[in-house]
Amino acid sequence: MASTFLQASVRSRAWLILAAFASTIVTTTTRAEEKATLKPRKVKARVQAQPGKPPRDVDMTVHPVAVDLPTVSADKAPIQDDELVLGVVVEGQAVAYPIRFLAIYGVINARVGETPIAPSW
Amino acid sequence: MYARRAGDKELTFDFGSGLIKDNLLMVDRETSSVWSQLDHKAISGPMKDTPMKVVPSIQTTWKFWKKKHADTRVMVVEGKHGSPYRYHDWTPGKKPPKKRATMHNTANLGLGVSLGGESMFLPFSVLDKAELPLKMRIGGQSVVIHYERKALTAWAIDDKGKLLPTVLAYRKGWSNFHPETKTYCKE
Repeated sequence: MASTFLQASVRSRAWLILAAFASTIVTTTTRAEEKATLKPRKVKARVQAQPGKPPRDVDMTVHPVAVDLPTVSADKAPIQDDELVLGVVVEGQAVAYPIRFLAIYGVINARVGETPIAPSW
Repeated sequence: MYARRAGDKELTFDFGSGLIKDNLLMVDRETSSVWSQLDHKAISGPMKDTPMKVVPSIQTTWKFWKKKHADTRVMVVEGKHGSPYRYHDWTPGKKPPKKRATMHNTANLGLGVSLGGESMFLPFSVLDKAELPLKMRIGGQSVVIHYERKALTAWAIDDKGKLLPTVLAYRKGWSNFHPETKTYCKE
């Protein structure tokens, strides 16, 4: 994007992310006060159900995504040197979003200083 | 990377289990409008056709990023580790790597730039041989392309040194959203 951004054999990656996401719903990582209310919902949209297929009118399942996940300093980062990250500098603060985590959710609701951003993969 | 604001409204994005041009979708929690990442706008719902502001970012290795930004913070997800994402350097003609979800070949990877109505795709395979940094004009704007092979990254800045919005993409994925794109070929 991305993102944002756009990788891979797009079809195979998109399909893998859809399948992975369906099995890792994020309710455990949303803010505690939202846990009781956030559930997957349906939204009518004209979209592809699978990579490579034509778009059609569907009741698309929408999964709630994490908001304001924590950050740590570089020396505490649980990632390896050759891993991919999405890096941004906002309000003078650099933040890296490891693709390993972005790939779990597809998109993250983040905030750097006062600026709300959406890193996506 | 996108700004989560439309006008004075802050948006919270959720994951839509559908695709548009084989790319993932987002749905805002506030209006349930559907947003297409690489179209940079809402494609349906109450906010249809509202543009989404791109926040310039760089996709690269952790090693490269922390060297450039020693004070960087890193997002973490408590209780989840995921799988490390890496590029696998594979070129046609060689035995392909064992297929793994977290590895991607770089044979057709490149930098996509879209400015002033003009789109340009710069393949890594061409940037490998180019004189860097590469200066050019895209959409009437002076652009400087930077490329770091070891970090598998590329980015573009304007004539004031400001980072421009770009996408690291495979040729097919970029063309899905920019069918009129030009492809940079070193003469």
